[in-house]
Amino acid sequence: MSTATRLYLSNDTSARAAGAGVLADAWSEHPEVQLIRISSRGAFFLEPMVERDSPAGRVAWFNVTAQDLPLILSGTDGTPVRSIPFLAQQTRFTFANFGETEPLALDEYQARGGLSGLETALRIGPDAIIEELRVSQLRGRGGAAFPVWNKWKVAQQARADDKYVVANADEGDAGTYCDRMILEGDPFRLLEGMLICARAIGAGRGYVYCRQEYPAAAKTLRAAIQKADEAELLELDGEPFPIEVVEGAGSYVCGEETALLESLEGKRGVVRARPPYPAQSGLYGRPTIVSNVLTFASIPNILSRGGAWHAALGTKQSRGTMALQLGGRVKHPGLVEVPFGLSLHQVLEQFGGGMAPGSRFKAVQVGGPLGSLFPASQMDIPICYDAFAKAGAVLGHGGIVVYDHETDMVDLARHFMAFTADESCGKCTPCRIGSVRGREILERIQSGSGTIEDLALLHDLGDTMKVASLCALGGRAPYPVLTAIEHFPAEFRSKLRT
Amino acid sequence: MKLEINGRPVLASPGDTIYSAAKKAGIAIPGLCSSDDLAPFGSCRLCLCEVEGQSGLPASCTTPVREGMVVHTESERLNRLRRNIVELYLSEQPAGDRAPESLQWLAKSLGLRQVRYPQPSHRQDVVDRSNPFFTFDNAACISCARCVRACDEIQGTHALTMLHRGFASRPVAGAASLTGEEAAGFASSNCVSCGACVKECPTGALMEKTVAEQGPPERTVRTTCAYCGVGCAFDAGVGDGTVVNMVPADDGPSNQGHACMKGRFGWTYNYAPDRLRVPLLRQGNQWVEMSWPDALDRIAHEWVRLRDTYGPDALATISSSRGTNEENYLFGKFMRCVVGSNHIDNCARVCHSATVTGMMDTIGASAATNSIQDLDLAKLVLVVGANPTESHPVVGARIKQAVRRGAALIVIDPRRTELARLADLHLQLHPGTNVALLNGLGHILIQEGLIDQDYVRDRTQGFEEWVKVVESCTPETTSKVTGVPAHLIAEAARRYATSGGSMAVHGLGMTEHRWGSHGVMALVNLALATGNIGKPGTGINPLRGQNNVQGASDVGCLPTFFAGYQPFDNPELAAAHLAITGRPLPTTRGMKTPDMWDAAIAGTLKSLWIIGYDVAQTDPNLKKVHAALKSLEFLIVQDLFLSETAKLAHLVIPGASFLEKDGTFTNLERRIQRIRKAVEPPAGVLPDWQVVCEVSARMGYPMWYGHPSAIMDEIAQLAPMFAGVSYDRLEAPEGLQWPVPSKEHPGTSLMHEHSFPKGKAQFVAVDYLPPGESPTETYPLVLITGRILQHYNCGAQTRRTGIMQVVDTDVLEIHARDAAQLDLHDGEIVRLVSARGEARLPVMVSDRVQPGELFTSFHFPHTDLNVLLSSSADESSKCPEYKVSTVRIEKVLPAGTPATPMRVMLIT
Amino acid sequence: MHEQVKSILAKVRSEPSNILKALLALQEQLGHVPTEAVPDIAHALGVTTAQVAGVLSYYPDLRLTAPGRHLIRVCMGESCYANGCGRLLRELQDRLRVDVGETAAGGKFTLDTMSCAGNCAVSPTVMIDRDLHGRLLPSQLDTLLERYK
Ligand SMILES: Nc1nc2c(c(=O)[nH]1)N[C@H]1C(S)=C(S)[C@@H](COP(=O)(O)OP(=O)(O)OC[C@H]3O[C@@H](n4cnc5c(=O)[nH]c(N)nc54)[C@H](O)[C@@H]3O)O[C@H]1N2
Ligand SMILES: Nc1nc2c(c(=O)[nH]1)N[C@H]1C(S)=C(S)[C@@H](COP(=O)(O)OP(=O)(O)OC[C@H]3O[C@@H](n4cnc5c(=O)[nH]c(N)nc54)[C@H](O)[C@@H]3O)O[C@H]1N2
Ligand SMILES: Cc1cc2nc3c(=O)[nH]c(=O)nc-3n(C[C@H](O)[C@H](O)[C@H](O)COP(=O)(O)O)c2cc1C
Ligand code: SF4
Ligand code: SF4
Ligand code: SF4
Ligand code: SF4
Ligand code: SF4
Ligand code: FES
Ligand code: FES
Ligand SMILES: [Mo]
Repeated sequence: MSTATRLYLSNDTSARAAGAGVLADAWSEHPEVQLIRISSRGAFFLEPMVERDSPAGRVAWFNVTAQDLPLILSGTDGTPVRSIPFLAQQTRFTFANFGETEPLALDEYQARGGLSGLETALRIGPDAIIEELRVSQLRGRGGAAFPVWNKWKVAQQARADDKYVVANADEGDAGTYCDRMILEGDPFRLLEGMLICARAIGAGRGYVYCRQEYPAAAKTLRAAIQKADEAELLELDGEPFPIEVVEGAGSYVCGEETALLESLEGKRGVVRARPPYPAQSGLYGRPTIVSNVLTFASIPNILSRGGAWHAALGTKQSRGTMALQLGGRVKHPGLVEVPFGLSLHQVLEQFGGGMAPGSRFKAVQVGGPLGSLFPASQMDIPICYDAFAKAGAVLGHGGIVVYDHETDMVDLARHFMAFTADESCGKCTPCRIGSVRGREILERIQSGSGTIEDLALLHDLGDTMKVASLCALGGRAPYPVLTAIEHFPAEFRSKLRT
Repeated sequence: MKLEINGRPVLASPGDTIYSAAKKAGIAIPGLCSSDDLAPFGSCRLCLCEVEGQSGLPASCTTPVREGMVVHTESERLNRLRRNIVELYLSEQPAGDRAPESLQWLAKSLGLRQVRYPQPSHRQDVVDRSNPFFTFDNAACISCARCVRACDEIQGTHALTMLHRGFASRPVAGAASLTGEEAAGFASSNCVSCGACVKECPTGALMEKTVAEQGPPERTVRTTCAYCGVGCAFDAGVGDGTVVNMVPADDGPSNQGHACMKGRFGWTYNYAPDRLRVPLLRQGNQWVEMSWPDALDRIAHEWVRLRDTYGPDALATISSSRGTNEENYLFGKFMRCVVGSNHIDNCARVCHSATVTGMMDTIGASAATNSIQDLDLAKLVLVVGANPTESHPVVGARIKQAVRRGAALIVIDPRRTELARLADLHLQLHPGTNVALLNGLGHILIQEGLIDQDYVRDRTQGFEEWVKVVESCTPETTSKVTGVPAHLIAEAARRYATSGGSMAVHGLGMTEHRWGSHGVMALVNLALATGNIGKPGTGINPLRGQNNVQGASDVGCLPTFFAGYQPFDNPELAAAHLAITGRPLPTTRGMKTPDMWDAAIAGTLKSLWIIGYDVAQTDPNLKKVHAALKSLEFLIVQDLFLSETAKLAHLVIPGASFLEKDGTFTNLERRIQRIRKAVEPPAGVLPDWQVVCEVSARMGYPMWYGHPSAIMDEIAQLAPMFAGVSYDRLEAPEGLQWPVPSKEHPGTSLMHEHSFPKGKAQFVAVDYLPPGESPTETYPLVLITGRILQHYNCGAQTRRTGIMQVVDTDVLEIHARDAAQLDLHDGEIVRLVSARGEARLPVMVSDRVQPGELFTSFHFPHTDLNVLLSSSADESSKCPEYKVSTVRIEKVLPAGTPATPMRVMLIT
Repeated sequence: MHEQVKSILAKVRSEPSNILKALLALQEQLGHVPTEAVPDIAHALGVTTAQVAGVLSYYPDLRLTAPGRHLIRVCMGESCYANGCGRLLRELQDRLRVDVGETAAGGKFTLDTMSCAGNCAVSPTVMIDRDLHGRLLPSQLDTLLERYK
């Protein structure tokens, strides 16, 4: 019998980028260590984090270096995982397995309640599945927050020789990484969600469109699919339900569902006008459900625990939990799963732990590169779709990036417009030309030759892009720029030519 | 469906968008990127509107109408947004007047005075002039992708794409731009110059060269294309008394705004320097110009002399399927009333005469049973021996659209044509084995119980005999004869029978065979057995070739029928004929074209009058044809150009082109359409119908018609199927599809809906018989001849246009295996030898042909192709066996001789 | 080239044909997609050269020219922006003496940017080939680059 000590170390990409990879390499030759590569708990500020079992549950060491091994093996100075506030204050359902299981261990997944949602789905049938989702009031987590049951109903009722289920794993919003964590850390949950969807709408094939920047995610998912296939899970009503992982090629707008479908067909990832919606006519013109990874991953729990359970969490319009992803100059960047309703301030203080050392707060951006900026004065906004909509902002995919006092708001605004200009698919005029014109104006201001008319023009252009763009890339692009001007007018004015 | 737009009640149909509904109601919404002919796209964002109860501003061109919708398309807010969008457009355009007119106009109408973006980055200055017919100027483009979508959705050629993305995105042809050859895009692409992109372009970034050079037209004249049987409607743009451009008409019933290279750009032969302008008389080896009165006198003189000396059998006419119905009718009338015989034929003889026989004997009527628009309804299209994307490109594009829509496609052709490549099933049979293959399909229908029993019982007879014949045609035997794998035969039969609406179209791969009529019958049998005739989206549809080959036969340019396919021995017709023309109708059948060659060689035929038909290049067994022509005492040829036949004539009469005269053509779906005079013919040149009137008068039988409409009125009096046709009714853009038995009758788009002309249709069981020739050791290869997209028949017209910049030679297509065996390389000149003679042409390795088979076209006279062909023809119709000749290839020059430069473009 | 392109494409041929997948497969094997191969690609997939060009020019990841032995990509996402990716990029440009999209003399490194690597909690991020490096300081660049040969 081996006397080696079981140590748990995350194999998540960010954990590795923080040093877990180096640790694993350094310790691979130590016979006294049995290294178990698990998913990450998401407390990335603590990574690389090493855990070992104790009678009172897991004990952890933070920001470990290779030299810490003796300390860990001797069991000194460890912190009980349960007592880490960042984790203890969260409400983990979708991310309940994180830090606990090996991503590709199907038996562990099942032992922790996995696949019971699928079992229910298979038992109750399409109508009842969709009814359960209706009751749950789950809204899509990819950004648009559309009621999931509604979309499924359309696809279910559409008559076609083929239907498809597509998981949107493009996760293009900078500042977000929860999809990546699921793909790498709990892939069976995604597959289970997709199978439930396929069962509900009668689909015969599934795709996961994974951004090319996530090689480890694609690899893990492919391995998971193979395991699921070996376990004969990829089958519905006696028919195979193959799932394929398809990688993108670096286009942000390919996260937009119709552009994604074009790209999945191997074409230019250009946005399609809607209607028809993908649920009516999607991949190859067939009814297709495109949903975000997190959305799919939320579904197994709803089926196993019931829609009412889900509806009981969160706020009136935003039910369930939200995976928030903290980044930027916050002290404790990482994944936070909490029910909707906490204020932005609470989230940043309670979980974010305030600002990174040496930094003073300037602004926070929620919802990725197209999300609005909030100054200190607006921090009491509740995390909830409605409150954000009312403020002209979006929750998006839950990314929260904090900027500190060193941030140059004019440069940041230019950075946003340049991003849109770079990523515009080029189909519609307001975005194709407008984003470049917007960037040019900001460059003028930055170089000191902008005028007050330029600011007015930027506003007018922004308004046009907001209402006239075909998709939300052009439509949302003005928000971070215009909120930067709104909240930090002096920085812009001081650069103008007088 | 009712909605309200700008306070006005508007009626719309379910497929409408707000934009299209508004347009129909006469409410114009600004917009640059949408088109009636393209799927909703929504890129320019100018058409935004307000919908009550809906947040945001949806694009009206992508928003479907809903019952009760209340829409506003005009408001200060919308106006401001539109102004800002146009401002963005102008900001990437060259300053001032160089900006496209449509943008300038929008700017003005929206009150945009100034562009607020100073010195912004603008569009890359790229001009692609490499297409012979139009240019692309990127600076004037707005990247709306209408051109790209036109090429994809209308033409189905995918020659264009948007390149790059974001601000840099712009349309290009092919992939040359990737390597910096920006200006060579079109030339490097598979563009077939259909012009759809040019027509869709809202800015003039794509523009016809003729328009760029001559300025936009001052007026337009609606007319019909005079090349192929599709009968595309065009607006001829005229400026300064000459044609400037030809733009396909949106309300053209058979083309719906689309066209092909030939009709759209191949009309400039009209201004070719060597157009015939005066009558020419042969004197020894010389041509001498003649005055018109002298020339007409001369014809009359010779024909009176010959008729009086040798009798009416010494004279014959071959009328032009390129001419109008009225002209063709008059030539028939001339022969019958003035000469007193039925010695008149037209080039339907060499083309679809086998269709006429095959369909007459089975269905009892010899024209397309359905209409082109039925391609939109068909669940399956079966293409047998036709290459529509080249020969009938607008129908070809429509078939590609059907495939895009999800219709199944089966192609039966020895060659891998463009449609074969796209098809669900390609049955690549050996040439000349149609009957075997189609009987093999019939065998499966019976084996697998795929027969429409009710239909067979109620509407057909002779089923049992057919069953007896196909019983022995098992997949295995069929496969052996045809070379088509057995499983494909079975699959094709199943699909054809069970699609829920299968439409067959066929072409010369069916008819131009030793047993062409049998092939047509075998196909009709399949349609009858499966109930695929007399319903929308089904039928037997011969793709008639020339612009008016259907009409020339319809109006009686046949030795066997009078106008309307009436037999000569019909007493009522005889009485009517006498009453109206004052002359009796000759009752003896006349000579078919091949009979005329025999008669000429035998010395009994003394004079031939050939109108618009280059027999000396396009008929088979040319040595014999030349001999026959040379035996004549007096050969009259009436043509636009000094064709190969005209070169042998004694008297050459210039013709007026379709742009220079009035009349009607009948297209391949029996649709009678007007052509209208757009410009004057060269000074003094008479249209063919006036020439025959003049000659007739000089021979003592005046035929006075003030206008071709009067000729049509006479046809309507004499032919019941045209009884309701008149020019005032033909003013409607949709023309009339015969039969039109009365003035009140709307015309017939679908034939045989309730019964067949003979009551029940007849199964005619036919056994497979081999073609006239089979490969031997001396002649081991099978030569197939046919068409290419770019040139037209004898080539007299297309060879005198910019099309020569695309293709300037016939080429011999050969499979790589055979080429390797014979050590042949692209461009090498070879000698093709048959038992009749030899032809010379360059070779080209091509995957369109199978090993052991060759293909070439016949559009260039110096190829001398038809010398190779025999006089073998379909037994009953005399349709020549153009599709099967056995040949061998000989190298002309030693290996290593550099290939001749040539312009070639194979459509794949 | 002909044969190599054909054999690579033979493995990814699909129905209906998928241009992007084919181009990615080619790039995976050849490091880039040579423009001369476009006609072969079109032929093998049964599409037109325009269709291939359209896709090839659309996606930022598809390269028409061969990159250096190692591809350095600096994340320009917002979390990395907040954590100073701009400085990292400038440092790299100075050290390698190249602009974004260029290959350094000697062909060792090609410098490029990327949008979010999903490593925002450990940003700023630099991706070299398929490895991620997080919490990177400009001062650590030398040792990092030395690890690549
Ligand atoms: N561009 C262009 N268009 C034209 C013309 C032109 O010259 N040029 N001419 C016009 C005229 S006059 C006509 S009649 C039409 C003709 O139009 P099509 O009927 O399309 O003409 P072809 O190309 O002669 O032959 C059609 C096909 O028959 C195939 N074929 C040969 N042998 C066999 C066989 O044994 N069985 C089967 N199933 N197929 C076989 C050939 O491979 C070829 O693809 O086109 C008209 N349109
Ligand atoms: N090897 C081979 N040979 C073939 C075929 C084949 O498949 N293979 N196909 C055969 C078929 S189907 C056909 S239909 C024939 C077609 O062969 P042709 O009928 O010989 O050729 P076209 O080019 O249609 O037209 C003949 C002439 O009409 C003239 N013309 C055009 N309009 C007018 C007009 O308004 N008035 C007058 N007076 N003249 C006019 C033109 O200038 C041209 O010289 O070729 C046949 N030959
Ligand atoms: C420019 C743009 C980028 C997007 N990127 C993503 C993405 O990376 N991942 C995602 O799930 N949804 C993205 N979306 C949203 C999708 O269009 C779509 O709404 C979503 O995938 C639907 O899934 P859900 O209903 O689960 O949210 C994006 C939308 C836009 C306009
Ligand atoms: S603002 Fe949002 S969180 Fe607050 S009650 Fe309304 S819906 Fe719920
Ligand atoms: S807004 Fe931008 S990304 Fe979206 S469709 Fe328009 S051009 Fe494409
Ligand atoms: S002319 Fe026709 S084939 Fe050529 S690019 Fe335009 S639409 Fe396509
Ligand atoms: S060439 Fe004309 S049709 Fe094509 S994108 Fe430009 S403006 Fe639009
Ligand atoms: S398809 Fe036929 S009728 Fe139409 S433009 Fe072309 S040649 Fe003329
Ligand atoms: S016309 Fe509707 S968006 Fe262009
Ligand atoms: S913003 Fe750089 S990794 Fe996410
Ligand atoms: Mo013909």
